[in-house]
Amino acid sequence: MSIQSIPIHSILVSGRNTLAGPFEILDGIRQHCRNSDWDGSAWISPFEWVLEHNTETQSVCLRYTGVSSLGPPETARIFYDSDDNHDPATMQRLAYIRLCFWVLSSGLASVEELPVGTGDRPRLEVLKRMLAELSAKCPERVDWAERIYGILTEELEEFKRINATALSQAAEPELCATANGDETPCDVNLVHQPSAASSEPVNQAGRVMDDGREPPADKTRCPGEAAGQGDCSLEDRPVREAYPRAEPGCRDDSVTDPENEAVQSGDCHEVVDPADEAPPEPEWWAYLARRANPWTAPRIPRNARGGQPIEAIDVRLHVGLDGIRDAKLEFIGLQPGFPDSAGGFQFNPDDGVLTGSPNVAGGDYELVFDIPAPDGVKASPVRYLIPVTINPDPQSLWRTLEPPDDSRFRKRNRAGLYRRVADKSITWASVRGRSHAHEGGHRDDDCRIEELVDGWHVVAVADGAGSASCARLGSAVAVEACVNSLREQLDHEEIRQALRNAAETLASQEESERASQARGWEVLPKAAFDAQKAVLDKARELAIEDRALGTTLLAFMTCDIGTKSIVGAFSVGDGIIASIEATSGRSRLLSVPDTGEFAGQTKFLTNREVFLPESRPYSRLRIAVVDRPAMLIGMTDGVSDPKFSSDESMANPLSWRELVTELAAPLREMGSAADDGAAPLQQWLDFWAVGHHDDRTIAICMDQQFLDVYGAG
Amino acid sequence: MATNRRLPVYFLLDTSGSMVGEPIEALRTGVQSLVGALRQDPHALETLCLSLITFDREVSVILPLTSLEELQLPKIDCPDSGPTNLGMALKVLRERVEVEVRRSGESRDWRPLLFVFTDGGASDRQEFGRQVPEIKRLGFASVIGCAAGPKAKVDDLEQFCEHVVRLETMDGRSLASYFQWVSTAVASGNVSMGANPDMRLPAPPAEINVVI
Repeated sequence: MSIQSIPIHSILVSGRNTLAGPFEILDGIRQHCRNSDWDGSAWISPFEWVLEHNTETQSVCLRYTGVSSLGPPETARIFYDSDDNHDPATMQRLAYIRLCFWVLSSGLASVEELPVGTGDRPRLEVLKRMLAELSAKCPERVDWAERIYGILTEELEEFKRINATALSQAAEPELCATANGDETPCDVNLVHQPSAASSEPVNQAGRVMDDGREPPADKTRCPGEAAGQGDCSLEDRPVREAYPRAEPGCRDDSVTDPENEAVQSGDCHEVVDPADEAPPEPEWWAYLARRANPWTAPRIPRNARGGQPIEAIDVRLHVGLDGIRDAKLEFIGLQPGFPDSAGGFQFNPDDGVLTGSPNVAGGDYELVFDIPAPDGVKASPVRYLIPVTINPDPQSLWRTLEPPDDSRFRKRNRAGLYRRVADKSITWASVRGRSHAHEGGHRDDDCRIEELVDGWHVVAVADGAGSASCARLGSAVAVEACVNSLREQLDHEEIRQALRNAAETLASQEESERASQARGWEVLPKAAFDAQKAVLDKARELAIEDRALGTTLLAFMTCDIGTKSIVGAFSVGDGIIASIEATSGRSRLLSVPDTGEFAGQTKFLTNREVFLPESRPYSRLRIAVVDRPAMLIGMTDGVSDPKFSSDESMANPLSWRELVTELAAPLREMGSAADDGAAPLQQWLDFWAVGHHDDRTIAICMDQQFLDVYGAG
Repeated sequence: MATNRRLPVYFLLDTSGSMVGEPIEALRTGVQSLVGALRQDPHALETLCLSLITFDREVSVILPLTSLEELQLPKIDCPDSGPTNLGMALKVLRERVEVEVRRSGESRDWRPLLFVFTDGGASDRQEFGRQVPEIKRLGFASVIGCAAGPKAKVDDLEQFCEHVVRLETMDGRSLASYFQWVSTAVASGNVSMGANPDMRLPAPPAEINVVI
């Protein structure tokens, strides 16, 4: 005895069953199970079901081999004619098996509830009833139920037509009645046994005479004829590739069809419906129609992105129809989706090219195309599905959440200031980055600018550490303490004088004579040190770790002496301080970024070793003499990272020209509107840069004529 | 100075014979939903790159390191039977990391992540013994092993994984849970990278027991 176990999934993909029908349904169900939102607990893997093909008894049975709660293994044993797997009766039986599988795999009925097994005879009504019940239990699956039922009845219609007599005689089609009318159970071998012991007079075709009457003795005559229906109703046999007619009993030598002179002799495989003298099917259609329907084409090679135009796709080429001009492609839409939804795609049927920008949410979709039957062929279209992955539009994914109401140390998400002082524009803007907005975090950057005595402008910019839990406080304390310290130091006459001397000396010297002279400039490192102290004291006061207030600090101070600006700068951490001269276009970096071992790591103000003598804190001090008109600019890495791709870029005046050109518009706008809050500059900070979503802060000290002389904007 | 840095994430997936049937099906679904979930995260879409390496009798790089936006998930196949050559898988992983991950220079990647999934242990003990010490040198930010099912050998995973989680069963629900957790871990690691080199794992769901 040979038992060949065929796992369901391989049945579905093997070429053996090339029928578009119940097998394809099952594949569709399986796919649907996977892609749908059915609860996994109700889904049984198809691997646990086995279609057993017992070649000796010539039976097919669906056997459950798993150990799920649905109960013990059950067999639905249906016998078939081994010679003819495409027998419509078998088709119907197998369809029933498929339906059972669907029912069981969806958990909608238990094995015991299904009318299978010995002593039971499923009928069309049973099928109908089951479908109705299933649809009621699972209303969202009504379309599936209808589709299956539709296909099943299609088969049944087919079956009816071919066996017109048999079915017309019977009140309803009986799937498993035996030839001699006995109400034998379904699992009795209904196969025609060519062996002599044939107590079941079965029609030579292997089919059962469902009406239970004696089959016609005359094997050469069609059943229809035998039943007294006159001619072998050829018009009831539409040409259909899927059902080769293995009906040796249909030898129609003795049958003449008055309408069709071209009587076939031999087998009925080539039966032509005389009612419509259609031209023969084009070969390409026959080929297409033979395949699974819908047929899944290869996936679109490049994933699409919401809101972005796709690379045009030659669909005909993609699905392999490029050589078949007569095959027309119709774009049906995108699924899953609303009906008639094109999802933003456009298809030109003339050149077969698909274009467009997806306007749907991200996910896996299928583009649906239909190929209608050629003229003269009555058949439903062949459907093609082309899988496509659509990535969401990244801009649509970014959320904006407010920080929790009960957070300690709140800070406004956006802030800024613009002032005109004498012939200078002083402005800064600071905005929360998309990263923090997405999580409902705070802006961790901060900035302070102040005008002090003797025309000194001081600027402090700080970037709170990402890993610091109260970074926003750290940066706020740092900038405030830094500016306060400078103010207090400059209150002392001797310090002021020293600084003024230093500045004047620098301004008057020739460039070549300028020695690096730190005298007077100690104010800056002292201010940074005071800022560190303030932050550490705050940490102690709040009884939190130092690193919880981790922050960088960029500080610079400037005053004008005649045609020159003198600048002193001091930095701890990353970010940039730079000067740009309008006339020469020269740009200079005035900060030395600290970079750590990994990307994103830098030194923080809270790191005590920064001001230890062995760390040479004065090496962080930079002093420059800049020709006016000039722009002095300080920014956190939230701005410098996206705008400067590398260190070389930062040293390149052209990169700076690009940046200044971008800044020109908001600067001019603020200049004319005198907007205190620096809204245009804040808006500029909202620029989109892939991969750069940090908080952004920029501070600018600029001579009024800078932009015009520089030639920007 | 970062221009769109990538976060490489490697998956080593056991496709040995014992995975045939529901386990491999659940694994496929799990990976699919992981990718789907990650695609909804704006940070992930910009920086994440995934690679899938399956191992049974052979080791196959079914998906070389590819950005989340571009990747198309291949079918995860499972031969009918076969040993679990985890050692060889680690060897192939090293080769891939050396080629694919940018370890220095201006556009260097974030430290990669490694997730290992197995329902057994290493069949190729010798190779496994050779490869384990080398894994640490690859500089993964975190190596997370998943020992799924009753026969999984946690000890093997503990040798080179910082964290090991256990799944009691390998049904659809457990695996779905596990991959959900993986996607949260990856997404949060993505956000905090650079700021915090010690990746802290999110709390695992009920079905998963964290061993280490």
